[in-house]
Amino acid sequence: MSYMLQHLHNGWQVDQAILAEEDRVVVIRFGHDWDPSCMVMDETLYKCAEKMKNFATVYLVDITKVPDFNKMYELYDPCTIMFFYRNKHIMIDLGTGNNNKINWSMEDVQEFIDIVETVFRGARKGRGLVVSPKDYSTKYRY
Amino acid sequence: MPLPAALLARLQKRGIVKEKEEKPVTLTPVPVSSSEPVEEVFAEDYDDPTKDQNSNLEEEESPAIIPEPENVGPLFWEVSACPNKNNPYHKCVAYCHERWGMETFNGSEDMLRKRDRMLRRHPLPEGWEEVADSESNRYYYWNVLTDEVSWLSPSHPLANVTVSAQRVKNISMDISAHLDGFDSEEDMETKSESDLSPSSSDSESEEEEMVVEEKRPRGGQGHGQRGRGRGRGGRREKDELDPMDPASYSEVPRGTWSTGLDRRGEAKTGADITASGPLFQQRPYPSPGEILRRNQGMPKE
Repeated sequence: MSYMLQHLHNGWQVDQAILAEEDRVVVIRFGHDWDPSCMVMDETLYKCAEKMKNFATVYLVDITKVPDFNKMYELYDPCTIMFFYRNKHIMIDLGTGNNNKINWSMEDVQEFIDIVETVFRGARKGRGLVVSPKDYSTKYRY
Repeated sequence: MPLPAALLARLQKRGIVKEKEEKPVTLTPVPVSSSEPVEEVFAEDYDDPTKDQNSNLEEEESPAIIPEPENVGPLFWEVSACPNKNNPYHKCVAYCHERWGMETFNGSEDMLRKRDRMLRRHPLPEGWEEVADSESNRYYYWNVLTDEVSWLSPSHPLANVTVSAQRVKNISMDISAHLDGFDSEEDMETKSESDLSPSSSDSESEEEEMVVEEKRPRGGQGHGQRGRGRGRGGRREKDELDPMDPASYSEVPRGTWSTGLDRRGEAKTGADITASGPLFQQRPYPSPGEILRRNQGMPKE
């Protein structure tokens, strides 16, 4: 089944999309569709979306068209993923020092699904901060 | 043990202390040593440099009082006419006196007439002395007990009784001496305030004309600390700059109650910028709806 990722075109839609979701994690990708790193991420999201439709929904937001959150969410990176659950921002300890968001593009589908599932499980228990199953600290990269 | 001047005066009034202990207030040239006990109280809070500085100030200003022929003449602090005398980093030496001479006081007839009229209507209360100011060529009124000054007679309804500029300057000098020579705002203020120009307006009422200038009289020059033991537990004076106040050691202006508080709708980052190190970017962001609500109050660019 082809499943197009939905775009949100203004701040109100973003707000409503998060408010309307009662028991699923809302995954929002902030960035530009034309951005190469966003394209990679969107590809991953597209593959995930169907698999995790029971516990997560995915939306795309163009940070040029919707600049409302840029300052508050510090959206400076080409591609940013943030998680919300019941109108609450859920933080993930990725080992990078920035617990607020994933600001790189991920290629591994299963890895991303694992992260979203961890977020969902933690958030459902009322946690505001969950620990990512994999440590993305740069110390393992080199 | 010497008593503070204010207390002494009060005790004398009640007859508890004998009159002979009273310090000569007006007519004799007051030597530097006579204000020594008060100086000690002053130096209690601060270290030696401050004291040195203050005694230097006194020497520099050389508060020699010229006795008037009769007892009731206004005081006149003779000061050097050195153009640098308001510069806190300049110490007048003998050459300054030689080169620039002393300042003279020549009040205009107009001013004298207005002053007489004011004094007739609003006579000076007890403890107040009339002092001639050579810079503005006007008289001001000095409370010998509390060391407060006023351009108008203190009984005048519009009189603004303040701490003398010299005293404010001393305080700010103390602070800057403590903080390794940061230039404080207060100094500048004092400088500009004491840059009086003789008022040459010919307005009708002396009240208006005299009230227009809201400046601090220079005050008893060497006697800045007379009668004011600066008690540690005492109530903090209004003009005193808190040494911990950023205004006392940096360029920032003196703040008000609401300075630095978050104003509504002011755009800011969601990261906790007050936290540093590992705590930075480790607090949750507000929800999008919350951000939209906050943005509503923001002025549109």
